[in-house]
Amino acid sequence: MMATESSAGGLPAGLEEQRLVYDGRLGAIYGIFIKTLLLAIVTLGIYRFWGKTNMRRYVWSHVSFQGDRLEYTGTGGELFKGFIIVVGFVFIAGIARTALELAFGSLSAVAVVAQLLFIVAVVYLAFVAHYAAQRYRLTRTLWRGIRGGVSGSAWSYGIKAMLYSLISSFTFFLAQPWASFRLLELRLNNSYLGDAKALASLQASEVFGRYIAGYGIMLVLFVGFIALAILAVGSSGLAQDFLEIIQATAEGRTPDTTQVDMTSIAIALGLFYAGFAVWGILGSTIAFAWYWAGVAGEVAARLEVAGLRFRSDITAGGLIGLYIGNMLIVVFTLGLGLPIALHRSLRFFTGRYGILGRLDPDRLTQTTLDRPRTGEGLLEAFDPGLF
Amino acid sequence: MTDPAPPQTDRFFDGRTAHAHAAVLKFEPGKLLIEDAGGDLLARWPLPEIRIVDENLVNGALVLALTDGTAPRLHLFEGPGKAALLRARPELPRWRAQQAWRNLRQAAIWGGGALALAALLYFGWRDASIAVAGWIPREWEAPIGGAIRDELAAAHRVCSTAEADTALAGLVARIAPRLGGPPVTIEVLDVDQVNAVALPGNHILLFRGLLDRASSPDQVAGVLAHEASHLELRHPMRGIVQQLGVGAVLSIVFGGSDLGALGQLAATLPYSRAMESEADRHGVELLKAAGLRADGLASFLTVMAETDPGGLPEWLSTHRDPQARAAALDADASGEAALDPAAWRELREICGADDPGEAGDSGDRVARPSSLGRGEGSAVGAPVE
Ligand SMILES: [Zn+2]
Repeated sequence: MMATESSAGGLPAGLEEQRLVYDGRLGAIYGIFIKTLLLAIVTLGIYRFWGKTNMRRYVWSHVSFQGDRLEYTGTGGELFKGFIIVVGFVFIAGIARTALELAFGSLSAVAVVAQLLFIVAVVYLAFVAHYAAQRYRLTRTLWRGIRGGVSGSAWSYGIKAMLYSLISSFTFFLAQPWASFRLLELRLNNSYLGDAKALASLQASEVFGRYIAGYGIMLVLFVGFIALAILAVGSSGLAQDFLEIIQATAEGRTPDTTQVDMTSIAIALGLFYAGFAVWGILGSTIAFAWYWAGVAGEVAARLEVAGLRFRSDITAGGLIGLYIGNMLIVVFTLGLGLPIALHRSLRFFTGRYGILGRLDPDRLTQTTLDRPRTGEGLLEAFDPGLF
Repeated sequence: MTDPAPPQTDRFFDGRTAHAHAAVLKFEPGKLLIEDAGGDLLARWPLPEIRIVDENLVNGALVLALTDGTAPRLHLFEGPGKAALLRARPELPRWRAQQAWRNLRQAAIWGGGALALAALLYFGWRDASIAVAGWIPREWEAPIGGAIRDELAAAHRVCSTAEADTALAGLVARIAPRLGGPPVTIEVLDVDQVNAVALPGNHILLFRGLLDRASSPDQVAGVLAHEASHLELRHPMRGIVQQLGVGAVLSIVFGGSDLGALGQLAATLPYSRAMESEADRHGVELLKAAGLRADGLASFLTVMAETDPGGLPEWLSTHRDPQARAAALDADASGEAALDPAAWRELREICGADDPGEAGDSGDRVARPSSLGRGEGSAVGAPVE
């Protein structure tokens, strides 16, 4: 009784703990990266899909579970076909939109509605893509001759994701933990390893406090940044210039350029936006790290696949170190450090999830779930990353 | 729960369960037999269809599968089984190079295809643009041309008197009675520049400088017929499609097009010489069909080139040889005069009672294109050129 009380998911005591083992080498990842880069240039970027596939094959085959390595069975051709389909869709949608604009005028109700629909469609497709990509990757992952799978429809997931996001935005994103947990559950509970279904019932209340803390920190950071910006404007002597611009805008005239130092204003605005971006990215990484560590912990505690249970050692400090470190590496190497960031992330995540229990290979049978024929073209359109 | 096969012996996964079978390899002609330790047959693989999936550099195992993409996997370690298989398929160890080559070939084929498509679009775009422009309904041109017409009309005075407007409208209706799409508008802008513009959406704008310099209504009619021909032949739309080409299509598709900018581009694009000759010829046909004198444009071009070669506006001087252009025109003078003398006088005074007598004899009046200001230059419009 006491033992089950102590852990969130009520883990049975005495389960043997194992971990995923990642033994990839940075040099090998760099080899694939450089080759992809060079061949992508020669083939007008099209080699990227095959390069990405090579990278995944390498990474998958250097992650082992229970002594056996994973295998990635996807192909570059599949990714490329998926990409072509998406390009075709976007092209047709764009032509249709422009045709409507020309036919009815760019400010007509029809054109405006079409424009809005286009934006909504892009957001919707981003969600659909996320789900479809998970299906693609899981069906292309093989372990001891058994592959993964995802049931359910990506299209209906997209609709649900839109609804949850809408509700979350109505609450000024205070309901975000709840919304993202519902969506995470949808993705987890439709996932399979062979015939073994993943089960997870996540409690947003477990991480809500951490989320509110991050939310509060972001508010403080935001107010702080604005105050800093105002102070900077005041001390730089540009206040008069800004006042003139604001007045002119209010009166509907063009600002008097003899009174306004436009160059300094442009520099000031550039600094403001750059500062805002850096502040926002670093700030949110730090502010929400505790929350994300909580999410990882909650998912690990509640997830069950084929009799396996999980435990997360991920801490806020660890996440901050990983993400800020990766950003610095990528920025200061102008992107050439991407393999280092990838390598660090793989080592980080494989090493920090404990897998409790052992999977009985005799009881894990092949999945009957569909294997999509084309790759994650949609996601490719939204996230053309290295991996 | 325990695997019967220790990790360093050959193992077979049948793709049905994750169970690791201890594998013993036997060979038949053209076939690899995989049996378990008890001698039961686990799988019979055709030798030519066996491929290497991966090589485990840590424990030395080769992971093998069939080329048909099915799930069963055979893991072979150093030993008699692996050696025997490599004797039967000696080229297997070169799998990495073969796979790399296959990948590169696929990417290169697709890259070449993309390049060929790009080249086709680039070189075939001129011809395609005629067809594409033909598919676009004329009504759709209205917002593009309307935006820039409004902009010009806001920046300059639009000259208008009841008599002159009637005369102009009548002339255009006579010259181009069957111009499709939105109704034709013809307006005179108070700009001291020899120019005329045909905008998409069937807008024609004459600049006052042109009326000042023209010595007869037939010359104006020639210019109008030329501009109306541009419209009738869909040149503005063809120009947009053609000159902006693939880039425009991409920007339209990906970057939310701005119709105002599109109109600006339509107006500043020079027409090709082929289009100009086409409009010249078609203009003469229109005039003849209307029963009017058809030598107006030719005489206007000649007079402009002779009286004022140095002060030629840009639209005229960029044309390599206005004389040749005039010579190429059919100068049939057998038709009626475009306007009666009274209407011609009204038209010349549309922007106020300027002294018409002075108009033809001095180059000062021909403003350089830059006098338009706002950087549109020569271009406000695809000129008469
Ligand atoms: Zn012309």
